Amino acid sequence: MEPNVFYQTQAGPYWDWKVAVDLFFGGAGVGAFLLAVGLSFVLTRGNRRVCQTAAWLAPILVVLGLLFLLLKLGRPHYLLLTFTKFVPTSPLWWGGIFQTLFVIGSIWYALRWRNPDSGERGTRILGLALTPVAVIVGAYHGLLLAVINARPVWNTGPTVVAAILGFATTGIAAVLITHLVRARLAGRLADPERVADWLDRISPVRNILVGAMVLQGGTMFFWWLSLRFGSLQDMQALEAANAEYGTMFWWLGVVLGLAVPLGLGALAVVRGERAHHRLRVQTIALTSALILIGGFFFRLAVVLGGQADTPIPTLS
Amino acid sequence: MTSKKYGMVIDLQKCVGCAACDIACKSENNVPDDFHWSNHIIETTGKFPDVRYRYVPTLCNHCENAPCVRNCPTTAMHKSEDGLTLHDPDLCIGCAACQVSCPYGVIYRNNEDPHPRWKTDETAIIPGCTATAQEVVKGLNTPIPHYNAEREATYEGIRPKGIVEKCTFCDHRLAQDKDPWCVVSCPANARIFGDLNDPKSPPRRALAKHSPRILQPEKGTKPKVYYIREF
Repeated sequence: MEPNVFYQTQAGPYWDWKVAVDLFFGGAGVGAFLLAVGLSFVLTRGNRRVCQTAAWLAPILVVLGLLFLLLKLGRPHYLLLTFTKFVPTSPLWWGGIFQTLFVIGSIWYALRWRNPDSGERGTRILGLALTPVAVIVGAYHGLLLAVINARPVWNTGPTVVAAILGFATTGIAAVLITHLVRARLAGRLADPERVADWLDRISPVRNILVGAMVLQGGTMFFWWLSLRFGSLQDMQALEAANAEYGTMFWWLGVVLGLAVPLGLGALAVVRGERAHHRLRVQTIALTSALILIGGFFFRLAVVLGGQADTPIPTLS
Repeated sequence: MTSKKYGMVIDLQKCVGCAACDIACKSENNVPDDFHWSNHIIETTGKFPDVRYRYVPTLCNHCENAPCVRNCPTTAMHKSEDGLTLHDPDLCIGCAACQVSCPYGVIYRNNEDPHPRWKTDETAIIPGCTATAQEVVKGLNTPIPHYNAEREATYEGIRPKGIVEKCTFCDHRLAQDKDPWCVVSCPANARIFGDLNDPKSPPRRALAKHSPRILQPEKGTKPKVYYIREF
């Protein structure tokens, strides 16, 4: 018979929705930056606008995330203390240092895209130089949770992989939807020819997005497997997380944020140019919006679900 | 000469589950109402008449490999030379990384101002006869009635809003060569405290005599609170 355990600790969750918002925006910012860097190498000069959009989104999103993190801190005005200490064992310390570097570097990078006089080669080199910083910031958003072995739901390898893939999907989705709005405002979607041109330019990005979503789905499956068939504590943590946040995770995070966009994305790839231009644009907008909504709820469910109450292990 | 390494052994055969340690800790350290630096796990197994009841007193384990220390970005949570896991309120940014990292749930965060009753309660138990909480504070001229000036010698007397707090093994008493107040207050002498580096110290002798156990050994935190014997 299962023991009845009573242990009164402070009611959680200790990390609330503000941390999830930080992870969401921070991850999307890094994804947008890496997309800008990647596109600057593989695409032609005609796609300068996509790179511009992505490059500008990166620092804006990361700063937004940091602002929410500041709201979470009990004493945000003490934050500068982080920079006066050397604590390599703390992911938060690394995050503070590298996010600051990333914000400064990505603003510089975005400014180069804005300035037509900036040499393209120099911009690419700067992007490459900042890429390791961006990857560290992206991995940090997963490591922050994964290193905490008191929380079995977080303390897995797939947590980090899911964070990296998560920043890829949400970053690309954020760029696509922003770029779409930008193109519409500039009147570049007014006539069918220009729409077709715009869609051609955007199609490689859409294909990358579909690939990232497939990998993301696989990672989520392995994450679930590692907990479902893990230790007793893993199983209890998964059960508790599912009981409290299962609906949010599965329906909003996985179905709405991954399965539906994946279906729409795959359909767009298969049908290609046969679909009506207007429908293709709408599909891109809908897919991107769903990925962003689902991406946020996925993170929220993971952050909160990882702290769901489980029976405290007593003396064995 | 090796430095001290403090630790505690709790004899579960002597512990009667009276929770005197919990109450003593609250009064000594000005611990807010809903916080439990000194705490306990109650575990009931089985079905009448074959029932097993277990009472396990808990507190900060002052882990050697403390996850709260590892994950703190500002070194607010740190290890002292004598093995204590301590918290420096002057360095704390209130990120709660220590709190989520602790597998034992012994770290508390002041999400609001602590002891709010003494600031807000205007109700007298017998109106016109007993004082209200606010009147008591005003009359005593202290932040809270059970404010302990000694406590402030090594720590914030009362922790401000936004930061965390936890058991310190009564470091202010250790500085005066006194045992933690929960140890002194235990009516059954179930708590044995001392220097684990000294082979002749009471905790070392107790550990040598009995097979000690720790909470959640699989977490690899190397706690310095041990449990011996049991009914």
